[in-house]
Amino acid sequence: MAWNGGPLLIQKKICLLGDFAVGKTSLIRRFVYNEFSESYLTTIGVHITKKEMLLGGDRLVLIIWDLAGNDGFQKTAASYLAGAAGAIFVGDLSRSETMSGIPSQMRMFEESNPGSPGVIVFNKTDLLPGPVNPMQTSREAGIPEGAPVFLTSCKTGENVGSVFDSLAGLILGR
Amino acid sequence: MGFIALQRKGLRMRKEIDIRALKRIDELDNPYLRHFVRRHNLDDREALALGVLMEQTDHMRLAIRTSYSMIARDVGVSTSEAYRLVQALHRRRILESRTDGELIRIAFYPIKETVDEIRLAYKNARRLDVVERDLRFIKGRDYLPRADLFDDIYPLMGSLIARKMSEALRSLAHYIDKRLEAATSLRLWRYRVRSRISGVPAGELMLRDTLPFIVEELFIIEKKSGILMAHHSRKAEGEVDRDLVSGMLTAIRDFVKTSFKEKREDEVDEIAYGEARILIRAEPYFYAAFVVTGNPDIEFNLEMDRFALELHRANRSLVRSFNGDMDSLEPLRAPVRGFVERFSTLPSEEREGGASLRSLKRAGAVVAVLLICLLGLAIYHSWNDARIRKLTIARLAGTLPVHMYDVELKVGRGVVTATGMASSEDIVRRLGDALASTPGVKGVDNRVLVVDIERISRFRGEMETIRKRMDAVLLAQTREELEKIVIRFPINVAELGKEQDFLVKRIYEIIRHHPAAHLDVVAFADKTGSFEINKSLAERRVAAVRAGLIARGIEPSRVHPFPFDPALIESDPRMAAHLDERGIMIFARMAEEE
Repeated sequence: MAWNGGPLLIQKKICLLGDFAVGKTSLIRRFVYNEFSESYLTTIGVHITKKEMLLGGDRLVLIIWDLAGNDGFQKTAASYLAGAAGAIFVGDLSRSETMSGIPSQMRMFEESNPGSPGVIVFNKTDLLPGPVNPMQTSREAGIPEGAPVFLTSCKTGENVGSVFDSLAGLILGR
Repeated sequence: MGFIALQRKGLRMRKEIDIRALKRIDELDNPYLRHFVRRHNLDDREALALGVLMEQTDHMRLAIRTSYSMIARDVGVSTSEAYRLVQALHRRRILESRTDGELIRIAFYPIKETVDEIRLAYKNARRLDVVERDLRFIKGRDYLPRADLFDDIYPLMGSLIARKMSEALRSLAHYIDKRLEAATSLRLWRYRVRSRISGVPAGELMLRDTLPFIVEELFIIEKKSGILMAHHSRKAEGEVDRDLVSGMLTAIRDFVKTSFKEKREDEVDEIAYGEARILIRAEPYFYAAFVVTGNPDIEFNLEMDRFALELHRANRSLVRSFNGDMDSLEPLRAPVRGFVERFSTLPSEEREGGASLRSLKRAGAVVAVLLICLLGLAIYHSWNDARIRKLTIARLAGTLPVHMYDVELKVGRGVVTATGMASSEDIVRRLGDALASTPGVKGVDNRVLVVDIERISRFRGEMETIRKRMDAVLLAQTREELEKIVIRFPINVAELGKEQDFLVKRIYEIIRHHPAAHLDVVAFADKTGSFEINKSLAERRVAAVRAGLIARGIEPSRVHPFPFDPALIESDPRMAAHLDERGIMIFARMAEEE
């Protein structure tokens, strides 16, 4: 159907990757439902949510695939990445080993979706006593430069919206 | 080294190269490579060279500048051989090779098919290879144990059986259709009506009623991303967002494929839960998930295949280039909705029998009510017209002098038609006005003519007088003729014999020209014998003659048996002159002379 000049309705699939308990599900709950819970329930396989946002007058519906961070699901996780327009790679600032897992996750995503943009998230700033230098943290984790990096707290909501806004903009090329 | 030895060495080297080539080709294996090898019938070294060049051009995406010596090194052949191989691929228009200074520029020609389509084509080709191999195996065996036979034959027979069953079911449905055409049962009309409305043959509808199933929902989901492209549900939307359902369904398929299947090309065909099933048909860019409750037949499986394939064919470029723009998917919505609606009527067994009878009763009640209404309407109109006629007659009588008009009024549904005569235009007009002003009259058709009423009335009077005189003359003649006839009977006989019958016939011939005349049948007898005997005989003879006249067509109301009373007979001037007669005589008179 030819575009009549009115607002577009676009649906895109995005994935959240990261080690277990880094806050992927909390990020989504904060973004989609504006909720946060201290209690932790591991994601089995994948959990799918949907969020609609407005971008420059157009409606963008994000189908968000929250992938389990457990090691046992790695092979399955790769198949879940197919067709994704973008990804959010999440690390836990209080556990440095979760940061160093991000480069391999980025490679896995790139293999399935060459050219699709990604955004790096260092979560749980509320657990750290002092300020964090995101670029330095990135370098130390071996994360390649280029992707936007955000410091977030799902508990306070800090920067959560910006993460998804940034990714949406990259996906639509705006 | 001798020529033969050189040849042998050459042959050995060639063999080594071929084996190495095969191994490398395995490493470079991808659908496009297999596609070109099969399509152009490439030999091993051409395939190897092609595979290497595909890799170097990032799977045909890039154009590269290289040299034959570099290609030769990568492929593992001589430079001249590399030149030959590249030129072979160039001649087959797989790639373009052009001199670019000291190097050569190599670029692949674009191909229309995508990797998924090629993959699907080779999947089917591999299936055929398996079938052919099985067939060759079966042919080559002298004896097969039953279990082996089943294992060998099943791949061949499975689809054959499905096809034959499908044909058999179609024949059965056709047979049922033919029977239905000949049948006159009212209950079968239900199938005929449904067949007319839905376009599905009545026989197939009957079959579906015995094996009911229903399509609850249909999802069209983009294969990779799991995004819902089109959807229709028989009922109102469920609690769970269908976009999320599509995503999870895709995740489940991916999970099963990854965890349990060896070959990535195999698909999850069905997910069953309770009475319901999700039947999946995969196409290159999307898969269709049919949520069905009940027992779908083999024909429905074919319907699903046909639908998915047709949807792919009709919207191939649309679904291939889908980039998330949901408005572009509008062409998918109508066929999806149409499919669900086509299979969304549940043929329920509890509607059989009692439901048919109820429908029949309902229909009968409707028809009866309609008939009663029509009858009631007719009765009302008839009564109303009669009422209006009376009113109009009374209105005219009260409005106009009666001698100035002579009209006939007919009333039909409140419209009065007046025909006849009036003495002047003024009377005609006043007549029309009087009729129109009568309550209940909806319209007046005044066809009354203006004539000289007095003159016509006078003329009518004169005509009536003349008519009466004529009648009197005729009556006199008739009387004269009738009085010449005396019907005599043998002694003690009261039945009409030949002679009596002849006379009755003659009386009939005389009287039938005078339809207004009435007849008195009178019996004359002498005084011998007892009065009672004579009376009885006379009355019986009178009755016989009367019956004879009536049998010939004279109205019974015109033929009167005269009482056997000598004093009465004697006093009647018509009969007095015949007192000496013995027998039955007929005397004519006008009705008013009684």
